[in-house]
Amino acid sequence: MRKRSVFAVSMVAALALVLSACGDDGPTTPAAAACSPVQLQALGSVGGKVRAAGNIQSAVTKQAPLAQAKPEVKIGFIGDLTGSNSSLVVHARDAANLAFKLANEAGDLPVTVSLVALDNKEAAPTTAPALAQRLINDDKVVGVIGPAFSGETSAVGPLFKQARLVHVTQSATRVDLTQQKWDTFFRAVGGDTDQAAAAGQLMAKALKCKKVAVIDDKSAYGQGLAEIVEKELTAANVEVVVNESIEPTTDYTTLVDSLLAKSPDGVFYGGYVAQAPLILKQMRAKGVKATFISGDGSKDDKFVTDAGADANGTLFTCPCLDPNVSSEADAKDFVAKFQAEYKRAPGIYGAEGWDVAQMYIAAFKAGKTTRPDVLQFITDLKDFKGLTKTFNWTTDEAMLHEATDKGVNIYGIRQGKILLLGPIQKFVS
Amino acid sequence: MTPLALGPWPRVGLVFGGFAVAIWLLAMLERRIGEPVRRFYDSNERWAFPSSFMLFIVGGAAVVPAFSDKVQIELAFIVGVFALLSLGLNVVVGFAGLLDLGYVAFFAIGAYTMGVLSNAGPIQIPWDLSMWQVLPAAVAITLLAGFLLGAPTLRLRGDYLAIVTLGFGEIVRIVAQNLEPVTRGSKGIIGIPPPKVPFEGTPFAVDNPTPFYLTTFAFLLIMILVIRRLNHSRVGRYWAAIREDEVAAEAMGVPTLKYKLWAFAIGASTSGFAGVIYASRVGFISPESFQLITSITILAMVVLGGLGSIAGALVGAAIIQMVPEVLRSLPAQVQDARYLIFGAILVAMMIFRPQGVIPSRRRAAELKGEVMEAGVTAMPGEAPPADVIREPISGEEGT
Amino acid sequence: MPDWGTCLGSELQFRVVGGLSTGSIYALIALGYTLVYGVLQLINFAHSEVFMSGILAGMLFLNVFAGGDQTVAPFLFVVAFLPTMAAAAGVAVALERVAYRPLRRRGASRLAYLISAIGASFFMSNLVLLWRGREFENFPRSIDPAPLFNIGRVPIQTADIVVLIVMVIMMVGLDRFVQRTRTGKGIRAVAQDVETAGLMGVDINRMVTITFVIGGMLAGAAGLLYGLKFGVMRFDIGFLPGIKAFTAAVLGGIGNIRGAMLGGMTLGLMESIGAGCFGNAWKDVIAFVLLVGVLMFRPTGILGEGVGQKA
Repeated sequence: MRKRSVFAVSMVAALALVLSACGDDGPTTPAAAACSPVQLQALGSVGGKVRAAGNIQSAVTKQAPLAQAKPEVKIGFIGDLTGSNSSLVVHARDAANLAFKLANEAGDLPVTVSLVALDNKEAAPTTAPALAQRLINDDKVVGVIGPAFSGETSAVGPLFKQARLVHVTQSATRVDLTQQKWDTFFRAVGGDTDQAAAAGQLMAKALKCKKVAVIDDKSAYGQGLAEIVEKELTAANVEVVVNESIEPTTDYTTLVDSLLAKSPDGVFYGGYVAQAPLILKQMRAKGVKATFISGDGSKDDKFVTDAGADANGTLFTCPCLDPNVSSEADAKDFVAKFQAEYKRAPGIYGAEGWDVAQMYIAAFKAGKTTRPDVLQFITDLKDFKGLTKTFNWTTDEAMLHEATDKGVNIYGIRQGKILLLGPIQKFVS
Repeated sequence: MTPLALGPWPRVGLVFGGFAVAIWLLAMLERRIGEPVRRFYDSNERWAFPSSFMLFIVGGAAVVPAFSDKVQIELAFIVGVFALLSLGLNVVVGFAGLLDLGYVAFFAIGAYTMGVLSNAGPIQIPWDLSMWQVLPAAVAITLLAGFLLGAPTLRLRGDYLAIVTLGFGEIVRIVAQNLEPVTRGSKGIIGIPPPKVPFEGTPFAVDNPTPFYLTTFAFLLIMILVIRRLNHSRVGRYWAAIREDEVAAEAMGVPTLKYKLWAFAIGASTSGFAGVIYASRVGFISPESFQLITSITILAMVVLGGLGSIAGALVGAAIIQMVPEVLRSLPAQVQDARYLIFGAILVAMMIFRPQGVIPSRRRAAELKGEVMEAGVTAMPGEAPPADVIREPISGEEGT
Repeated sequence: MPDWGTCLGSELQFRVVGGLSTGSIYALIALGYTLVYGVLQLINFAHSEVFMSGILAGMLFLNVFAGGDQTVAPFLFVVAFLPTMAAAAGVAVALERVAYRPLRRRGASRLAYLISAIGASFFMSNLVLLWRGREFENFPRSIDPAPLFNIGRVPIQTADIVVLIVMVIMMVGLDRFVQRTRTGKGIRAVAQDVETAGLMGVDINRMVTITFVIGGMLAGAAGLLYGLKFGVMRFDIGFLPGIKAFTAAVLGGIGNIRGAMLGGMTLGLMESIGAGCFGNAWKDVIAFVLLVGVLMFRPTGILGEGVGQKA
């Protein structure tokens, strides 16, 4: 009885395998030339330009201010500071802290400013409202940097609007955030429309991909990004053979099997750095050679460490600037200061976080220290020169308070390092 | 708060140790003070309950708002919501003895009902409903859901029921995540409005948690009275019979399935209720708010407080919600330890004090595994006679 | 609506290997659930953390030998089974001693066991969280992940073959042990009727401990295989496979050893094919729907209950 059942089960399994293998083979995959990042080699080179001169505090040499008791104000910060995607958030927090520290030391502010950084573990949208509430209930908080991710911003937008507390995000890129008529919300970085358009154009025109798989992680950010990429690709007559969402997990076997079945030559993943390298590794292990492209949520050194040798050849789109590879004086200055303070180079969104902090510092310098005043100041911002761009806000209600000066950069991994290949305009005219 | 000059692990150990000591002290106190208080309360229940209830009303409605700042009232509001949830689950697990691990599903249904019917989601209905109007609708829907879920599953044996309800909880969450046209999936529903009031001005504003808190507290009071009434009636006795020995109850003519269904449905509607209020205050809901871990947390609240004890459910909710807040000023690593402590507490409670912080007398005996011979019961306030208590052989089915 | 023609036709071949491979891992974990349930009528909620401790132990062991590029020699993988299985067994025994035995001594109710199990599960996973942090850690690579050969267009990875072989070995070994050895007989006796077994002179505590040891060893092996296949480790990695393995155990017939294997493979296949037809987003729902469906309509599972029954 026992022998028979074991025998039976193994026969069935073997039979299933054999039968299914006899299915039709389908077309063979095209040669590696199409959709390969090698195409970019001729076009890409390291280095890039920062937009305009920045507004950096000069003096570490200035003396400490007189010990007067200046009124205290706080700027809030919400983001995932200790969770699995914290490497996308901490640089902005550190940059802001540094900016405020230097501003306080310079002594020409009418107030002492400090950063209240609230850790929203794993950037869960559900815990964000409570944190926002805490900032709202704290009367010393006159402005907020963030939230860092799109899901949490979604959750708190209405709250901040009702409370008339201004919040400027350095990295929440989901498109519909600026479509909600939240006049207290400002986005200091390009939204996903441009990023996704860039990704789509890159794959369609620069890499000349024929069949693409678009995958997202069901997060507010990832899904939003993937949706637009898919539209762009379809509009450019690229065949989207796989268009799926899969919650963050460790076992991507079924997803990779889908890729094997449809054999795309390019894969776009809308999601975060905690999962992206896992997908890539499992893809490569099963022999899926498609080029892997992801957005700013995956662009972090952790991707390289986790994906190992498979990382090379991956491409990223990012509305962010990497100040470490910039040749502009103010960017270099920022990097030097950051390095001196924290003994490491500023990572993703550090420069953007710095810029937002500088906006608030400018408000304080102009004597605006109450919530309504700060909100008005930020709203009226014109031609504010930051490290990453010159800031002007859109006023059209359909897309309110976006930075008008937007750029998308393409990054790639070569020999274990993430390099700036250039702005998207370099590859797609 | 000056950080102690210790590494992270010693700090965790210190907190752990602190907890252990605190609990030991409480246990000591309890033995000296608790038992006499309980006896006093039981023998004078006729006036003891109304007066303690009055005290509770005064404390909650007047004292708390008067002496707390906004942040604390916000916390009190959340505790109130969880107290409602705890109360409801207590009916299911504590009174009727049904293992429900998917309780959060009803919370989700209530919250999403508010989200959808308030026109904040993709579906638009022709009426402009306020929270007050959505409440009865949500109660009706979750009652129905409770019946629908319960009818096929309540016939199952204890452990199996637990797992089925767990499965259902997860299915509800995943469906919410994928049913974009109704729930907007993971993006969630944002901008759920606070309740409207018939007079001018909106006391229910975003920066004023007090009206929300008071409303929740009022509902809590009502539910306490309702559930207490039910438990002290024939329904409660049926529940006790089902809980202690379902086969015998069935044999005695108790319509077990019907009353199990009722317990389940009442638990479900209380949860739905809480969901509506929660959605209205927080203004944002997504499938992430309704995970398995929340079901387990609520279960822990009920168990910690005392299965089958109404006061216990409230105390359990308060403890589990407030402890992390109290620990918030401590560094991040210690906060992560909170689930560690949580888990340890659950295990320890089951081993040392399964009847919970505020035990219901009947349940205390059941859970400890002591069996009282039929007909020989202890007088309130007395321990049962020693020679009729026997320990079942290990492996025999407990209740 | 799914494109049944493709997903059950030309694409089916891609689903089978992955499904069977993951299913084997589910089967190994499921054995732990099924054995403990057979003997104690207890759903060991914390078994998912025993599985996780296997992955952790395997990772730590292999890390000792890993070079800078995070690889180790293949034979070390085989060696790693020993410490991994031992560690997981140790964790399982500790779990039994601390969280379950005191309750057994008291004759506690089902609910008490369940809550204790949940608490233990939380405790263990958060202990690892505090120790290792929230980020994914890399499991050292020992076997080249590239496909060994292809059947048509379907790649067969070495890992898949290893998983299948190990599962078969463990299954046969366990079956032999339970059916042929004296201890196995003791376990079956306890599963069938505890009181009588006790009266017959069976040392119940010892049988229970051995059951946990075996379940732990199997979960440890499953952990090492999981690390081999997916290359990562995190404190919460046990949760989902744990629930799915439990589904598998129930599907096959809780308490039934062969049922665990059948349930595991079936679940793996159905998940894989379901993901292909309905989309990867619905993959996890399949397990839960199966779970609920089986419990409602055929709670005894495909092969029916029973370590305590004669095969």
